[in-house]
Amino acid sequence: MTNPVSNDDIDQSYSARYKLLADESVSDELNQAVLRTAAEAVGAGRKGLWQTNWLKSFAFIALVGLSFSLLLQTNDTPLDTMTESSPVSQPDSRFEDAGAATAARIRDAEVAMGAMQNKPEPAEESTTNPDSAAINANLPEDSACSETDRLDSGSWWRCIQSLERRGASAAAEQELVELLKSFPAFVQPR
Amino acid sequence: MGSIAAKVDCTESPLCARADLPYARGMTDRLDDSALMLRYKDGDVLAFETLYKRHRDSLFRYLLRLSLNRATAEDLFQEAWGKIIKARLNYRPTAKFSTFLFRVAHNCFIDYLRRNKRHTAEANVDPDLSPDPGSSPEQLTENHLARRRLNEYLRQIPSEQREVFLLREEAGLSIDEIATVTGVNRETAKSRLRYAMGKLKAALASSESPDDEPRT
Repeated sequence: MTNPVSNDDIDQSYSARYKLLADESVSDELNQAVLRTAAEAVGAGRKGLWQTNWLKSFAFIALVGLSFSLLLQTNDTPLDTMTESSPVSQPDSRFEDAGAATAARIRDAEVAMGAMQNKPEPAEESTTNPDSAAINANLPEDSACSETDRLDSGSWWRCIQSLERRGASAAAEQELVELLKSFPAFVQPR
Repeated sequence: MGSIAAKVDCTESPLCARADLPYARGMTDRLDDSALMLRYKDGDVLAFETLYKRHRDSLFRYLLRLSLNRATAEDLFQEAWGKIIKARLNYRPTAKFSTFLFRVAHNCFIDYLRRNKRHTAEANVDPDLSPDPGSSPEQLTENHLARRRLNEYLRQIPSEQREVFLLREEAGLSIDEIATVTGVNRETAKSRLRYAMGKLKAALASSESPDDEPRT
């Protein structure tokens, strides 16, 4: 009788015999050398990773700083530009121009009154003539010239002259300003 | 002896320090090779240690019987693991880890042959380095003789057939995986394995005969 053993079983038995005999192992020195290499490789990788992270953090902080300074510069520039060339300044200049024109007319009126009366400046008069100053101070502003006097430039001018004669120089001056505003084409008679 | 293994003491080196906790070791022991390699890729040295312990002896015996010289085998062993360590960052589990490992070792051996064209395959396997401490003197002598015979038989097999046989026995690779490692087609690998097994069977069978002489 033949033994019913398959080829696979025979291979298994020879394989088992091979494994029984081939039982060499790695020396401890070699094991430690390989494991040390593996650990060093991971350590070097971690060191490299740390350096990479440090550089990333530094780059991020630098980026934030630069962005912040750029943002500040951007915010400052429009403010300066607005201050220098803003349309808001245009009404101011217009007001200045109007004020200058009015002041010039007032000065012209004063010069005209000065020339008409051959008198010193009202400020000087108020300081040198205490009686007229007291009268001017006591006169009510709305009683300087009546509404009837203000209907035409001639009657208004006569009222102003009467005020001057009464010594109410400040009231006369004020009335002359109002006259010139109301009748810009009025020419003072000599 | 030309071993390049450096004498190091991992017990004092901070680089060798690891979380040697029972639960951590148990976790890594349950992981497959690819998972361990991926964990080592992420910096887990303990995973590499587990992986290394699984394959170190089989890889060493493969290189030992392929090169037939212990010093050469140790150099190639360290070179192969060094390449595995370097390759961890680009590792992708597309194939079985043992296939990857033995392919790297195969390439190291091929490079060694190219560097040393006068490789004479001088047998220096030194089987007495790892005797079984529980064996009797008679049994040790018998095992010693058996190992010598085995090494002699393997030495007489052509290196291509010997490599296929070793990949089958040591790495436990399939025919297809052996073909992948050695860079030949499946039929060639299968044929080489058949020849190698036939010669080994004949040699081992003859060693059981009374005259106990190896037959080639």
